[in-house]
Amino acid sequence: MSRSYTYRICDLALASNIPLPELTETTISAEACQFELLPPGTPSPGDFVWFHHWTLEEDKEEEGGKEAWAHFARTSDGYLLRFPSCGDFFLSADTLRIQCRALPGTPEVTVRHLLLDQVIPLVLSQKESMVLHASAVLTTHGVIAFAGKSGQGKSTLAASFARNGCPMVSDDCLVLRAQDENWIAIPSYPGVRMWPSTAEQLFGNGTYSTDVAHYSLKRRVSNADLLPFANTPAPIRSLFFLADETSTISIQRLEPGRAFVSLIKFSYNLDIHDAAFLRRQFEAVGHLTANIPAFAIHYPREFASLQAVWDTVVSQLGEAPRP
Amino acid sequence: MTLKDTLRIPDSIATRQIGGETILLNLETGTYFGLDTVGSRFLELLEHNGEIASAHLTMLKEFDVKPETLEADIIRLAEEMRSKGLLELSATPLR
Repeated sequence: MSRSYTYRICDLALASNIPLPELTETTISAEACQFELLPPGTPSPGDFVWFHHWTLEEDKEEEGGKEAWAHFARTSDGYLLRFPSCGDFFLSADTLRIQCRALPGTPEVTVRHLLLDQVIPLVLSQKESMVLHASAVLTTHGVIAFAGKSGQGKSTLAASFARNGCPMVSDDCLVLRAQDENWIAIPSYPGVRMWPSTAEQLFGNGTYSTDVAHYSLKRRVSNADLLPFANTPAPIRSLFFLADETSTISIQRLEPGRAFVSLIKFSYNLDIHDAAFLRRQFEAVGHLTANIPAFAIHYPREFASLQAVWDTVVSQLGEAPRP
Repeated sequence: MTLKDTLRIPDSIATRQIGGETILLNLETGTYFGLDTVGSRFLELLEHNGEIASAHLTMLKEFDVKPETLEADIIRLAEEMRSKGLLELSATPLR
């Protein structure tokens, strides 16, 4: 690599041959994961075998089948993640080296988004106790996480809490680390991704934001004055799984078995056939289920209800026993 | 399968009791399964020595059920679990 920039994301040192302005620069670490955007025309690697596909949850079967959003393959020395309309990411088996071969016309902003918000969570799933598809904020009671399917409102809810003075811990990728009987939430990186209309409602007209990716209308808001960010790890207090929309707000404690299944469902997992990983994840989810209360939260998906959701969650946190 | 058979949990299956239920994970396929409280009790009893007959006897004392009904239920459950690779016939006790 000609020039290297080093950053921190979710406690992972990440060296890159392109600037990653979404992240905070840090001092060089010998343990850094290395990212390289390969020059155009780099030849394809050798053999690989597909073993898993991600589909978009919101796609409907009746509209011609689910579209594959990403394909996973094993290569001779690691993994290949293919984002069909954008490019390929190659991961070494130890996940310390990531290379991207972008398709012609794919801008760097899209490469950065795929790296930070899709590939790095999968890399982290190999290194950390648990990586959840969740947005989280730091409250006076501890960190609370909102997990749910794409488009269910995780980021909106977390950002609305941030507007109420709770610093953001993560947007979409939450790293949890076991520490004795506690679980510690590791802050990811500043900012939140949301639709322009949502940003306007939460932060006002003309809020400064940047592109997320060339294929998405979503905007990235990372102004620290609007959206405070938690810089240090903190214990997690509760997990909230976003349930179907209802006209009223309600919160129900999940039975342990349902909480377990929900945690598995919303966990990142690079290799779904890696038995050692699956066993480790199985134990981690069991421990998390036993120690951190999980709830289902129903609420109307309208901006006018966000303050009432805040009130209900904060009230519930005050009543719930500390883990 | 009959009451005389002995079963074991294959090494490729991870289990965990959670709130009276049991979650099972097939580590070869990444597939999860769940057992309700009765199924969980059956598996728990099987873990002692693998004998279906022994589990049947104990469950007769714990549940208000006719012997033949319980026998049919646990044999059906055992066969279903075996078909999914969650149990296997064994001459030796469950691990």
